[in-house]
This record gives sequence, C-alpha cells and structure tokens, in this order.
Amino acid sequence: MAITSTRQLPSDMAQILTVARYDLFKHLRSRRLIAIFVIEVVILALMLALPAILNQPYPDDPAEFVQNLLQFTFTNILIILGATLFAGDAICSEFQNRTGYLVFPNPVKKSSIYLGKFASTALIVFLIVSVWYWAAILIGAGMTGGVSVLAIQSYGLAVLYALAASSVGFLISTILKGSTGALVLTFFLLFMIFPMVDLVGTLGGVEPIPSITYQSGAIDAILTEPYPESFVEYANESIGLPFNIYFFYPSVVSCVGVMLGYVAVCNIIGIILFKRREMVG
Amino acid sequence: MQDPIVLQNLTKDYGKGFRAVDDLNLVVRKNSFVGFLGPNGAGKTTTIKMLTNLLTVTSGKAFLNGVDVSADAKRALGGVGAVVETPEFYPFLTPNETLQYLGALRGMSKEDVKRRSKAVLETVKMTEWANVRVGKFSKGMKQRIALAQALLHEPTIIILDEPTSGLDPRGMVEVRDVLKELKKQQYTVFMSSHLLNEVQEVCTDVAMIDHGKLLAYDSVSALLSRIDTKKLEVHIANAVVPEAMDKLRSFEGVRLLTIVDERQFFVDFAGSEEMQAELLLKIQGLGNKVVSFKESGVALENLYMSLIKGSG
Repeated sequence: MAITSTRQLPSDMAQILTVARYDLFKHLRSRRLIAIFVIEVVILALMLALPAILNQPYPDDPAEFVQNLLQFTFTNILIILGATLFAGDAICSEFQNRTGYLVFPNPVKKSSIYLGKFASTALIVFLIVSVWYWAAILIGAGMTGGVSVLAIQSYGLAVLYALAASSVGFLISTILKGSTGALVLTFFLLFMIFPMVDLVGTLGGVEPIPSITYQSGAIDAILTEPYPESFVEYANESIGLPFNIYFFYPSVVSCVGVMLGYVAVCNIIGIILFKRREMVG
Repeated sequence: MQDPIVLQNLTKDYGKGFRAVDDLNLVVRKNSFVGFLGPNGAGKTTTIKMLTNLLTVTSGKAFLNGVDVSADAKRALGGVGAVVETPEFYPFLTPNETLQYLGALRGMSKEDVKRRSKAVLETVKMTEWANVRVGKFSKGMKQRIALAQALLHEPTIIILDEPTSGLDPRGMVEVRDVLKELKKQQYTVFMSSHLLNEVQEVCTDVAMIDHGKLLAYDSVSALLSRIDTKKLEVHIANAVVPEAMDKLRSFEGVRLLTIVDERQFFVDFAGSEEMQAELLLKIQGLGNKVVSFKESGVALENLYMSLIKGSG
C-alpha cells in the first residue's frame, strides 16, 4: 500500500470550530450542566412562590419583577458556578488527565485549542445565563403584561460578566497544575477574594474600578430607576457616625469596559502561558 | 528527497542542570522501522516529546518531513501519527467520535474519516467497541485506539513511544501484530522501546541511547554482526558429568561454560553457524542426551548491555 498524506490542513478558524464542537459535547454530556439547570429551576420556582406564600403582591413593573425574581445574589452565584465548572479546569485537565497526549501531537496550534475550548465554554455560560434571564423575562411578561428593556440590558451585562469570569477561570486553569486547585481557586477568587478586596477599597473610600465583581454590580443597578449614583455619608458624631461611609455604583460604561478588558487580558495571557506549558510527566 | 525525521544537535535541559537529551543527531531514512532503544531515563520519551511538540527544544533542531517542529509545528506534524506515553481519551466520546474529532483536526472529510475509521478499528481489533464511550475501556483497549488514531490519516511518519508498555501479555502480542502489519506497509516508523525482543522482531534499524547521547545507530543486521558471542542454553536428560564439562570447555569457540543445575548449562560461544552445529554434535558425543539447544535471550542484548555499561 502506498502511503500518502497529501491532505490540506484545515485553517486555524476551522480547527477552532472543531475543538469548540467536540468540547461542547463534553459540556452537554456532563452532569455539571444538568445540575446548573436544576438549580436554576429550583431557585426560580422558590422565588416565584415566595410572594404568594408571604401574601405579598407581585411587582407591576416588568424590570422590578425581573429584579425581584432573579435577585442579584443568585445571578452572581450562578455565573460564578458556571465559570468555575466550565472554565476552571478547561486547560489544566488536558495535562492532568493526560488527554493532552492525544490532542497536542496533532497539527493544530495550541492557540486554536485554547480558543476552541473558550468558545465552547462561552456558549455554555451564555446558555446558562440565557435560560435564567429569559425564564424570568417571560414569566414577568406573563405576570405584568410587558417586557422591560432594562431587563434585557441587565441580561446583556450578565452575559458579559459570565464571559469575563470564564476568562479568569481559563487563566487560572493555564497556571495551576491540578483541576481541583483550579476549580477551588476560581470559585473563591470570584466569590470571596475579589468581593473582600472590593469591600476593603470601599471602606477606604477607593472605588474598586478594576474589579469584575464590583463592576458586576451594574447587572442589578441597571434594573433600578433612576440608575443609582455613588454617594458618601460623611462622619457625623451627632448621629453616631465616626467615619465616612461610601456607596459606590459602577457605571454601565465602566462595567462594559472592565469586563471586555478582563476577557482580552486574561485570554491573551492564558494563550501565551498555554503555548509555553510543556507536557511533562 | 527529504529524510522523514532529522534530529540536529537536539538538546533538552530540565531545571536544576539536568540534561535529558544531549546533542543528539539522527537521520531516519524513508520507509525504515527504527527502534529507539535505551534504559529508563535514557532520554527516549523526551526526544519523542520534542519531536511531537509536547516539549520545547533547549537547543538544536528536529525536522519532520523537512519542516522544523519548533518553527512550524502545525505543518511539521501534518503527516505524522503519534502515540506518546499512554494517552488518555475523552471519556464522553466513543472511538468513532474520537476519530471523527481527530480526523477533522487533520483535514479529513467525513466520508474519508468514516472509511478510514472502519479500516483502522479493524486493524486494531476494536470494531465491536466503535460506538461505546471510551470511559470504561481498559488500558489495552485505549492503547489500541491510540494506535488507530495514529494510523487514521495515513501519515507518512508514525512515532510510537513504548507502544506495548503497561499491556498484559495478550495485549502486547496484539499490539506487536499491528506493528508487524505496519512494517509490511510503506510507513516510516520511529518507535521507542526498552523491550529488546520487540525491537529485534519488528525493526529494520536500531538507535541506542543512554544519558541522552546516541551510542549506536545502524541496521539490525549490521548491529547483530557486531556481536561475536552468543549465549547458548542447553538442557539435557541425564545428569551433568563434570569430566565431560571440562572437555567441553576446551572446544573451539567456547568462551565460558556455566552450569545452572544438574540438567542445564549455558555456553558462551563465538563462532559460525557451522561451528555451532559441530558444538551440538560434540556435546552429544560426550554422552549427553540433549533435550534442547538454543540461543538464550535476545541477540541484541549483549551489544545493548555492553554499550550501556560503556556509557555509564
């Protein structure tokens, strides 16, 4: 048999799409995704039932309805969970699980593998946020008779936050060796460490503009009319306030800018580190 | 015509001053089946990892079909099929899906992948598992799928890193059968191993390496011709007679005689096949009822051991 290998190699873009397609299989066939959807359904059902149980009226305003139903805390946790479970070990698992020995010796650039995997994660977190928001928006439309533009804008910012948080997860997964460490660090960084830094900055009167968790506040703030503005309650010993208290609200522009910045910077550094990482051991 | 694999002064340093591969030069000619031999830690896997872009090169160059792997890994690996270490598979994909994935990355059409998947899964005897998720496969089954993916796109070069490592005896025989099949076809195969019998059985050429340095590189027949002493294992039905053994020691070509027990002894012998046949007649002539008379171990073993000792 004559052995010939005259096939034209696919373009980088075609290979990115191939990696994304098969990585998507992984996510769609995983229990992680099913678990997230179950959590979404349970929270939505509870939040929808709560006013009825407490004999409280449902809001008439579509934006307020969505805000009350979703609650920013839950949106935040879902996005962090999505970024952790679908981005936190995306790269390091190829090394730890030795699947890199199967994929890396192929004629495909590591940057294409990275971007393909990121594309599939982006699609999954987009799906998670979309199910969450559109369920609330459609329920709200049914209950209030209208759809709020603010809710859709909030949805857009939530998608952007999910992409930025996933980018942080990807960066961590290119740095750390083990999946468990990467998952734990991604979760605690987004859930505790960044918010603690935000808090310290706020107490000191410094607006934590570079922080994605601070900027994610715009997802909730945009649902409030009028859009809240930062303010200070100055020290006033007569009312028992020995120091200034700062209330910062990120603007939509700074939120979009910082989120896009995280997506770009984390992924550029991630690709560079991934390209330099060797398959040792 | 380009040589399929060329290593030029290839060097790999790890941290703490450890040099795993040291100024390695090697040219693998087209359609040859090269066994890359060396003890554990000799630098075999490191060399193969540099060839397949899993490790960066400290200095020197590695060329595949004339393309520098460090400069353009995508193009260099285009005509290569590789099995490095024991790769793991995505447990959520079946062998067919895995082959579709890797085929798509290598530019194969769906029809092409389908046709080749059928052929390569037949070659590695995994057809009946083609649509079962890999998650529950044994190591041997995974190794066979690894070989299948390496052959999928009809590469010009196949690089294998200890392909029978970790397999049970049956798995080793099956993989070795696949290797023999490859030998019949016009592939250029570069295979690392520390199993001398495996190399002697399937390879046309052998490169021996230790401490990252090349010790010998030649055809198997040329290397075997360098070996002047072979170890013969003799089993007899009667008990060993010491006087007869003393006479045997004085026969032409006998370098050393080692009595294992009263019915078995080894003869280190240097001589032609005719002299070896004469030796058998002489052993029988001394009143021994010979049950078996055969070469012990692998012919390459002596050369290998002497080279390894020399390099240490």
